Amino acid sequence: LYRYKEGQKKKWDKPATTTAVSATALNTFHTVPGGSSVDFGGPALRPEAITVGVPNPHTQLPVLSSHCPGWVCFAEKSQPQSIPYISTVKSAQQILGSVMKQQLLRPRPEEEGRSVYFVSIQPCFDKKLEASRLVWCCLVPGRFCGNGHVIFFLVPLQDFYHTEENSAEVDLVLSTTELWRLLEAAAQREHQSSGMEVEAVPEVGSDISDDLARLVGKKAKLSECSSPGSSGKEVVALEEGGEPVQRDGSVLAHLLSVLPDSPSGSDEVEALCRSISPDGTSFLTAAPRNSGSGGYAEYLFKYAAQELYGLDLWGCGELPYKEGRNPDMMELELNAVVQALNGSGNVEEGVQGSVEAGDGTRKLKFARAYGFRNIQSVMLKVRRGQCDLDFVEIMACPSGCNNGGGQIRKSSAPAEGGSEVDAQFRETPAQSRERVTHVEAAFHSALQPRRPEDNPFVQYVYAEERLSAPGSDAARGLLHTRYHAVPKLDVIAPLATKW
Amino acid sequence: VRALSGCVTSAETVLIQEQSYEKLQYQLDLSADSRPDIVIAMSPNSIASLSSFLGLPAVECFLRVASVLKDFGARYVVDTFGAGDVALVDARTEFVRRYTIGCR
Repeated sequence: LYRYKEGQKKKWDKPATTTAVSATALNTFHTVPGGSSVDFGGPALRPEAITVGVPNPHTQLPVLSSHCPGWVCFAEKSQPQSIPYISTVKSAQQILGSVMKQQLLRPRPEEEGRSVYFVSIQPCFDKKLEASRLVWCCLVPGRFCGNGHVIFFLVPLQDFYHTEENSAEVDLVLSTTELWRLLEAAAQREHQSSGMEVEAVPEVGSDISDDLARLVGKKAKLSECSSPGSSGKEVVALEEGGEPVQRDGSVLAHLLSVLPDSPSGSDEVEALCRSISPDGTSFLTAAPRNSGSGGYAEYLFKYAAQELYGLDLWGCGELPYKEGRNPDMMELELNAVVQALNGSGNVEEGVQGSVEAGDGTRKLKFARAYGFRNIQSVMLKVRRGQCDLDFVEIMACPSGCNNGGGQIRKSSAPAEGGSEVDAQFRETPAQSRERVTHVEAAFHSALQPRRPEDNPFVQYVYAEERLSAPGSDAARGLLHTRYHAVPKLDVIAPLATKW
Repeated sequence: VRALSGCVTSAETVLIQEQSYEKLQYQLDLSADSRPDIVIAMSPNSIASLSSFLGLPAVECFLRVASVLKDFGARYVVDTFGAGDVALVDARTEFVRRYTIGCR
């Protein structure tokens, strides 16, 4: 109806050809109280056109998490109005890279020529993009054309780059499948050097044959757990075909034949950067539940409830999420959470009364929005000013990082025949859900809670002589980043262009 | 995976391909005195994927993989749980600050 009524009368404003928005450089913003609508229109390259109406990045709610590089990339390209909402904290990968290179392993003057090559193993290919983020933030006048126009060049600058050391924070990001290839190569090399075939391994020692028995048991488990139908056939086919399972077995056999590394590592640097519990059975983390994608919603909710409303939720285990439109859209609301926990009698006495159950006023509303459909609906609400959320943990992949594109799939890990990409898509949705459930179960069974303040690594990073405190200027320099609207190429119908 | 194919353009494909497995192999194959200190950090999700695929407990899986990678020439093999905790600590500070002064 709108288009019918307006017909051709509506004159569309051409959007600015380039808009550079930085979330940390405040001087590019004019704060507009309550201004959440962003107007990027107007003549290109006029400074007012890109600053007026852009909200102050340090006061906007909801806070959108910045952990997922796929989402950040998407926001910079097609949702520039969301940039002021995105948390400026770097992801764990970049934080570890910068702490390693700038502090822990920074070469001392006498160790000239020593350098650090930082490799990160991630579940996602977009993490590679994050490590080599190019920022089109510099416009350089190139040359004058005859007709009075100036041609500008966009000069790429790298975000995560230490200019003084002349090296990137993270040198290389490999997916889990690529690590798998490395392990395969290791197993291969081992077999070649020892001249033994996989079948010969059991003769070496009794505990290895035990391990092999476990391996066989695992195969049996694989065929059991796969439901009858296509997936069941596939596993059987793999076992009969021999090769893929054989290769899987050789990696496992090789892993089982090596002596595991000591949990505390070879020296204090390695011990500091490992979060293994003293009994060596689990990893320690601030968010032991729902942390497949960093655990931001889970942990920040508990912390904010404590800090702002005096409610101690730390000991109550998993928070009762309310499912939204689908399982990838989960919501938390303080009153509802307190009610649910009181109902189950999980909260310690004395904590219960702090918030009047259902006192009407909405407090702390968090959400986890995974997958692009849910992201779109959150963004739509933010754009219309109808979003009542305070924090949104956003992930591009449905089910979050455990379902990342670089994770091992049953059918893809032994990528024999066919390209790796083909293998990635061979899984049916039901199979991938099943796999992600398994991965999550494996993940959560190996995690134990530990307050981040008790983590020696956190204590090291925030020590007085380094960053001194969370949110300090030094912390903002080392742990925070900025985002930029990436200009879209103007796609104009060639015939409509007036030269 | 689908999400990925939607947002990665061809220029970025080049960036992704630049970071290949062969690059690590190259660094690992350098002789011990010309090789940089190679630090390999494993994300929790990668540990979980490997351990569920191989049927090993997560910590044991991590330590065994660490041992193989060190045989290959890596100096340190660490996890990113600690850095994740740092990210959570700074994010919580940022959130509380924005929540208390925030506007919509």
